[in-house]
Amino acid sequence: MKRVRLHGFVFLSLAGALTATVGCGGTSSGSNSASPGSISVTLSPSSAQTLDPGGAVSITGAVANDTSNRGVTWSLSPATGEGTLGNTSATAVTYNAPSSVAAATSVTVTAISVANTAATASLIIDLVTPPTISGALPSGTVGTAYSASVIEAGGVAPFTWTLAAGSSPDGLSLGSSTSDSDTISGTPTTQGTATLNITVTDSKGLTASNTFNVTINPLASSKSNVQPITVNTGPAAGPPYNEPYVDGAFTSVTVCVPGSVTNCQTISGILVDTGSSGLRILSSALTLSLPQQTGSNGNPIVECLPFIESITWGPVQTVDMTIAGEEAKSLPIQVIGSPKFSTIPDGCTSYGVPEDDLENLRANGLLGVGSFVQDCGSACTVSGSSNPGLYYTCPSSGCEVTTESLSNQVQNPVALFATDNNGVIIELPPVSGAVTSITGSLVFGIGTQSNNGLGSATVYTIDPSTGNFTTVYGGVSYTDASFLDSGSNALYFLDSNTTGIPTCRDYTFWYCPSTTLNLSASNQGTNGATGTVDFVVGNADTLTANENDAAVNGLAGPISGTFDWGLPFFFGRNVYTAIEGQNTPAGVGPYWAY
Amino acid sequence: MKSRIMRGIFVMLALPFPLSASLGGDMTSVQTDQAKMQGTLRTTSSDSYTVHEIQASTGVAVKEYVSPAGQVFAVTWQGPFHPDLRQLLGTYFDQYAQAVQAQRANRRGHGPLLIQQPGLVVQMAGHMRSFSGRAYVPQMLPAGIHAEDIR
Repeated sequence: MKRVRLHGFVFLSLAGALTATVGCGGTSSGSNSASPGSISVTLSPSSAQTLDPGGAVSITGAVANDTSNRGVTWSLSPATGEGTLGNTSATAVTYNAPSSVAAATSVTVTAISVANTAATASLIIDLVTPPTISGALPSGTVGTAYSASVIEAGGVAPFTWTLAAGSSPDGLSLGSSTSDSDTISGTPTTQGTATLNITVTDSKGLTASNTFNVTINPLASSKSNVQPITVNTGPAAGPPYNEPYVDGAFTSVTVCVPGSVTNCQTISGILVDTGSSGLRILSSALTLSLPQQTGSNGNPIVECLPFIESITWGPVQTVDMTIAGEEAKSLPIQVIGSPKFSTIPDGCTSYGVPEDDLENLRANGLLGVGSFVQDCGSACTVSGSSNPGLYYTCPSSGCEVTTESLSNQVQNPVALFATDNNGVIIELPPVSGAVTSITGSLVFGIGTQSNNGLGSATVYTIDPSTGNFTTVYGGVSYTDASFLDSGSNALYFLDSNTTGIPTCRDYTFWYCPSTTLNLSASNQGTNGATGTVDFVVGNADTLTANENDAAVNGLAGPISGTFDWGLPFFFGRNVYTAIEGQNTPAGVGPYWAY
Repeated sequence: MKSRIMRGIFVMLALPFPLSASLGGDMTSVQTDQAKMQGTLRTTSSDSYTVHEIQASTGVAVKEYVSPAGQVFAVTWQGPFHPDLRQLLGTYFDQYAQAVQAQRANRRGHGPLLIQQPGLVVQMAGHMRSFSGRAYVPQMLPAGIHAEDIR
């Protein structure tokens, strides 16, 4: 801020204006408004000056209407301690700043007309300290945009900022400001310490330097690896479908067009399914335009994925998927119910009844985080009669079964994570009876972080080809025929005529005992580990009477030949699913642990 | 195609050509569509019924239960993938598909399938890479045969 001070008056100058003046009794005037005949003094430079320590400024004084050319006398205020006047004459003087300045201050040089001592003019000279750069820069994170300011104090503007050679800025760079601050920005690429040796030079040539060490945190420390999940009635619960889910765990995923960080969409209402592998999203829930996977003939690849009694049909497209900071890049997914591929081949509907919209799927998609890496596996990589016919190539009309390489198949996104890629944990609180909703966590990785160790959990290895282990219940062994499945919405086991548990009158797919039954079964891994599981079977008519209750313990139903430990098994447990072929602290997957 | 020896004793035959049947169909009507499975076949018989077990090249094991009168009264399957249900369920496929749709409105989620209609029972269970199922027509069960015998 520049100032002009005169005779005890202080003005704020808007644009470096000047000064001149006047004494009293109307005998003085400013240089631009002097009346003819009056004596006035004008200085050059006329606006306030800024000097570094040791600097100097030459000042000339002109007196208007000084008919005898007597000039001016000069004075300095304060008179001592803040520099000196030299080379003094009737028309000029040089102000020499002191060689050092403890703190910013200012002095005033005043010229007094000899002919009329009431006519004076003054010049403010601001004395500044030398430029300095101090302070510290905040830490950054690999892969995350960084921006912070460096600020100098002292010196004379404009400034020049430079990043010295020998710095190791790791993706960071300095801006091109000429003011007293500049910006360090960029995206760090390596964890560790980025060193930035920064120099600022003021307009008078004085310089200051400082070295900043910026801590760059690894990507892992910015990931939570914990994704919230909620057992609620799901995205189809409201109008127009009014199809509330019971015992389904939902979460959200973010998908981006591969390579883009802005062309992204976060989709909620995705069912977490340990009984399948791969991300599948309803076409109706997607607003992004995703790249289509094509076969060797250039035609689109479309998948028919059989579930128990249903199929999903739709094109294989590619996304970058993000969840809890974990990223699966170039992930092949299935887009269900795409209007571009509305004709489902007979070979596909022979596997089941389509679930191709929100009303039928009751979810915006499925996040398959089971023990398999791919949904089909090696069977789909070869042609001929052994190919089960899950992948099709679809020219403009008609679709034909095709082969699909393992890497092109729709697959478990967790296996593609850079870290925390050996499995997941589903953590849900206990449920007593029926409640509206519960929240829990989908944790990525097993034994890869401080929050996902196995602890006291028992590891049950599973058959690597079937993904099953063994359950013994009621004296019957379901050998290599039982499984844990967060995507099943109840416990399903045995025939009602075998268990003696009556089924519900209308909903014959659920049990309706007159009183809640306390039962137990034994699970056995292929590694020989065994453990007893106590569970309850309640009256499904009672438990589901309020359709707003989405988390129901005790829901069970009949099925023969298998024991399907659905979501109620997960209540009150941390259930680990290790992916096939992946190393964990308890050995190579696949296994379950709880 | 049957070998009957003694009551209660099952005999296995390896057949050189494929054979298949649809639920509710008869043996003579279905020998043409077997080629699709391209698997191996073994047959076991008792006085009450004959079981044709086909190991399809996809790894799916299909069993077809044939009554002494030559009628397919039950089918079961198990394997990493599904069999061709349209072929296996034959004329019952549409009834099955309609029942699946009708049940979806009530079951409030995903899980095994249990259709129990007077004229058709279908059970399907499993998960990716491991599926099983069975279907039978209650009225066609030969005398003395119970649902639990169909495995």
